[in-house]
Amino acid sequence: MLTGGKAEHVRAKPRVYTFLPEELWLKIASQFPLCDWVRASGTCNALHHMELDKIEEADIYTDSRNCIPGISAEHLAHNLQQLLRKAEHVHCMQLSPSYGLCYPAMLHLRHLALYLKEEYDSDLTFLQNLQEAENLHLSSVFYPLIMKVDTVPFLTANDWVAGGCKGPSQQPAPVCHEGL
Amino acid sequence: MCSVILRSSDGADHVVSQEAASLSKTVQSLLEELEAAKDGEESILIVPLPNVCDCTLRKVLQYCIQHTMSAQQVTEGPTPSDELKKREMEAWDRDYIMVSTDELYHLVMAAHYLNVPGLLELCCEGIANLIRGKSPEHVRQCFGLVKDFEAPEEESIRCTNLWALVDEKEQAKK
Repeated sequence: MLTGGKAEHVRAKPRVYTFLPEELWLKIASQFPLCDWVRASGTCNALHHMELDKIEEADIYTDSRNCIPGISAEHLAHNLQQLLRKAEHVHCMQLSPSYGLCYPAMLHLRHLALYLKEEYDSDLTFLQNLQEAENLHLSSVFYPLIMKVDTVPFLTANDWVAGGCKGPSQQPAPVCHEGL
Repeated sequence: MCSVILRSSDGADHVVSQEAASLSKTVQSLLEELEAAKDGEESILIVPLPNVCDCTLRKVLQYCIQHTMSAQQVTEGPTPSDELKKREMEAWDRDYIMVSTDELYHLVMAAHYLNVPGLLELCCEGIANLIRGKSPEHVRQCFGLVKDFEAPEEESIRCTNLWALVDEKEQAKK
């Protein structure tokens, strides 16, 4: 972990933080939500070209800003998709709402929290292809999609009912599957 | 308890227990090398740390000593108050990391060089907290980053990231 000369603590030249090693920036990036990461990546070239594919343990999630005036869901989904493609090695992801992304193959994803706002086949396909899932936390307001969830090998419709979903008008409580 | 001396880049010596010093994996491996080389002599080991100044080393050692003491209290036997102690340590960590951006920068570099995993995690969390919710301009100001994009590239990045650049105040109004 020796960083050589760049680790010199020269008090006379403060605030030149581009010299933080990339691995430190990656550690820092793993601490905040995707939209903060996106904002930070717009600051300078060094952060913009950060290799997100090196992130292995990242809590990447979008926050509740799902209704941004003037920005279409397609625009949002497209850009999220680009980012997720770069961060395909993440172990942990919270996505709310799902936006119906064409998910990249996230073979290392072990912990997922997904809020399904609308019916998107891509969400089901994504769930069906999760190979390493250990913890899954799903919630949805869209009842028909919930009924389709029993096509996911490790989920059954009963799980969803147990989670509080009894009909289309009710918002289900999240379901947590552990040790799948 | 065996003590060692950690010598900062500016020559200041800090006497500290070997246990606390060994929270740094870098120091631990240096100590092992020094132990092997000292050939049975009973002198106190001096570990030179050329990449860490006195001020930062003091702060790092404050963390190491506190966490070593806390770990000792817990390992002496689990008690119902362990959870309380854990919460107290978390509160201590929160206070500890309330430092200026400059200090935080030096601290994270030191934690990285000295390889103190807990401290490194804490510093990264501290820096992430400074960035969270801030505009790119604010992040630049806070960390002295220079906008070095070409104009067309900047526009392209701005368009791509538009969804994340929505004014926080506008969001709050909604």
